[in-house]
Amino acid sequence: MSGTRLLRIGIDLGPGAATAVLVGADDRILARCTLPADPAGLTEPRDPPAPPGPSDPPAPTDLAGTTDLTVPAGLVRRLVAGLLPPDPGPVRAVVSCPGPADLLGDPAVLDRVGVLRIGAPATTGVPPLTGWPDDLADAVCGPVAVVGGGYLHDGSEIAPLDTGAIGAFARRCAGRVAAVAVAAVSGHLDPGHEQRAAALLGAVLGPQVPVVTAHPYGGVGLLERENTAVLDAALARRAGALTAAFADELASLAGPDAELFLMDGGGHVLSPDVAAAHPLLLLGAPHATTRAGAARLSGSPTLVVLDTRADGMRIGGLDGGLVPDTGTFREVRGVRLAVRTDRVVHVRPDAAVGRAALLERVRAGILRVGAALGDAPVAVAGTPGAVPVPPEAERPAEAESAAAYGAATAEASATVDRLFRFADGSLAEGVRLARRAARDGAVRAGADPRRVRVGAVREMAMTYVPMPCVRLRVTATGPLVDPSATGEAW
Amino acid sequence: MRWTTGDWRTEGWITDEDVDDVVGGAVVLGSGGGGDPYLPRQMLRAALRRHGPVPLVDAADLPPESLVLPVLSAGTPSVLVEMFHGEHESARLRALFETIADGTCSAVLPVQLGAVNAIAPIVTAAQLGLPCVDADAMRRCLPMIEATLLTLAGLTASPVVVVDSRGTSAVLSADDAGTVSRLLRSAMPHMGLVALISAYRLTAEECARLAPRGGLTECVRIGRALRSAAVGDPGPLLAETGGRLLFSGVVRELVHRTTDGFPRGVVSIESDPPYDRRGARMLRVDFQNENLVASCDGVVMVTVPDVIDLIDRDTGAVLQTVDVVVGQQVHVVALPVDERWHRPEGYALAGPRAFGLDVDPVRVGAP
Repeated sequence: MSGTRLLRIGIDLGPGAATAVLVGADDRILARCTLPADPAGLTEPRDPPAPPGPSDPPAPTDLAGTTDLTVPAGLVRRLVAGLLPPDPGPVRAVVSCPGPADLLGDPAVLDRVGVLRIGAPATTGVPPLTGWPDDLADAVCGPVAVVGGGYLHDGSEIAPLDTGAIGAFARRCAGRVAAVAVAAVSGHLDPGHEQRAAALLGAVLGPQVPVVTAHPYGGVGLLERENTAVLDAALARRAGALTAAFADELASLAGPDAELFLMDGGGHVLSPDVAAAHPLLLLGAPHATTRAGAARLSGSPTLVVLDTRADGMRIGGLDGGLVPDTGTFREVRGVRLAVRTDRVVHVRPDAAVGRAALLERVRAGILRVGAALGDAPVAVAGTPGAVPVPPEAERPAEAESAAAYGAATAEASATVDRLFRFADGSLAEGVRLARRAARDGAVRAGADPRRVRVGAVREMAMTYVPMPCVRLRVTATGPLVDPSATGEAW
Repeated sequence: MRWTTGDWRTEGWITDEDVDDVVGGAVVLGSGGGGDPYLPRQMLRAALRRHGPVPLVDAADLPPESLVLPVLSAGTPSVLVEMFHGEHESARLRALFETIADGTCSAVLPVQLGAVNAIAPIVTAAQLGLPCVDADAMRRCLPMIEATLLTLAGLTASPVVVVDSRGTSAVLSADDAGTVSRLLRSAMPHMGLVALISAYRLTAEECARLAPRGGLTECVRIGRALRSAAVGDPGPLLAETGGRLLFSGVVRELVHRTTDGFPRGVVSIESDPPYDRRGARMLRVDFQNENLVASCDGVVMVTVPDVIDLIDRDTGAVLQTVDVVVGQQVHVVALPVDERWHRPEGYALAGPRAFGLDVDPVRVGAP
């Protein structure tokens, strides 16, 4: 296929109307396609699950929900068909969709999973799923085991991996669970025990039972990674079906070599495999994608974006192209996840108040989001709706396609956030290792190794540490490898 | 009910209903340190679910010659959230402590009030089937094991008993507190930076005389006040504790220095508009484990031993200072502590100069 340039399709599946753009090699929009909001499914919020008690409302969600996978898959088919020229050559489609992760608070859609923690004799004081609401735990919880293994902070083993106990656990899971979640102490420092356990589980349970490991999530504690992996596993069957449906539609229109990616909550791409195994990474994807698109359309990597959709306006920021860190982690009904919150102010249409009052809410939201970003410009994205836009906000060209454009031009990224000891090295050595790990992660996620940018390394203090060590956090980002530009067969 | 009531009179119980409040209040007394509350909440939930409610007692109601078991988690919080305690450390800690201290424990005593260390003693009590004394030795969180009101009363921290989840244990004893602290620091890396420890040998009678009462129930009251507040409103907390709102603004800069093993840092917070004619004001919080000094445009407003907290205005969460990020919008509040810390010997142990900061102590509400 050498000689033809890569065509990139960005697809935004809502909330609101579904839109897509076709973007050429020069980053210009070649074509657009919009489908009205589907009243039957995708963009209509489902009835929320009945809250189990007044103190436990269902998770707030900024995502439209659907349980019928044929709806989003059909939208992708119609949008891609509406954009692609005949004989398109190499094609990449990037889909921004709420995915199944928005159904988190609803026990009815969660599969039963086995939960394996590797870390005994440590950590047994807090068993897996502690603190989960009963209905959520009852829906999800299959066999649970805490087995020997895991690592200390210095990388040595807490105990040898207890393969016998893992085998027994696997046999308890057989025929009883749709997926298994595996989390090891310090698994984010060394995934070895998680990977060995996953292989043992796979050998017993077979390929039709996904085994979700927790080590891709960094920067938090074991419980947060474990909680996230359990919910990932409980949604993995559904997420796998969704990504497979997208891939089938794309392949039928653009050929089997067409590349498919999904968007994550940081405004970067995920491979379909990663999205299927870790659907919680999709949380917040639509608004993050809009912000990434608005930043590229306006040329300002640091900005406040007014994302206007059918269900109101979401105000959020980007700082140097990245979603700003809020310092807090998402909780779903009291279950803390290894996914960070995003400071987003949602101004909903409100017929009870006047336009002036709504505008005041928007201005207050801009102030709140912008406070972290200095004198960031304010850009509008999406189609003007019932919530008024302040006249001082910039409206970049193609603003109505910002979300789809954000998907079409999305980059790959990886973040490293972990503890580095420098007792036997130096801080500079830790920084070098962190930068390299972030860079490698971005390349594994699809970034072109020649064009990866490594961000500033943030050093975070640790308290009550009797030895020199430091927590470092750094993100690397880069455009995806362009298969048509390499001159090699893909 | 498995609790026998022959040996003590119960002042109250820590039940599943109290989990959020006791942890929430303990975070406040952590003064920006002491660990994030999520894990302690789950530690307490799991222990209460397995072992039932924990009775709180007054040490004066315990057999006077029996020992109390002071309990601390000596873990590094950022490592503890990764490798938290197992179930068997508490029994081994008690057995070793009773052997070394030559006595029998009738109850567990909290030493320090921070999120992790207000909870670890309650969890230990649940696991051991003992009551927990509603008292403690600091009335806040301080990083040195000798920085207690028990030390001010003439007790020594030795012997210190240390156990980890893998069966390693140590007994540390020395004439001076500095040596014991150094021994403990050198032992911790060999225990994976997480251990359950006990220090101070004291009888129930001494405990009743020397340890200020009501620490855990105060945590519950503070936590309840926090929970009653609208998100980000510090009013109920300040009313409950007699504290003051020092400042509201946006975090502009974080400086961490971790090269010598004593993490030190500075958080700089810019005041909200509207500004007066001098422009924005800047509040600086110096911290080392906990928040130590709050100063505004060069004027010291409050120092340790009083408590200084940062509250996230978006979520209402009382923050661990090491987890603060640039751009976070915060209130800075200060709360008074036990009067005994405000005597010269209290300042010598836990005033700003004890942390190497050459400023005079300033109390909450000082003119």
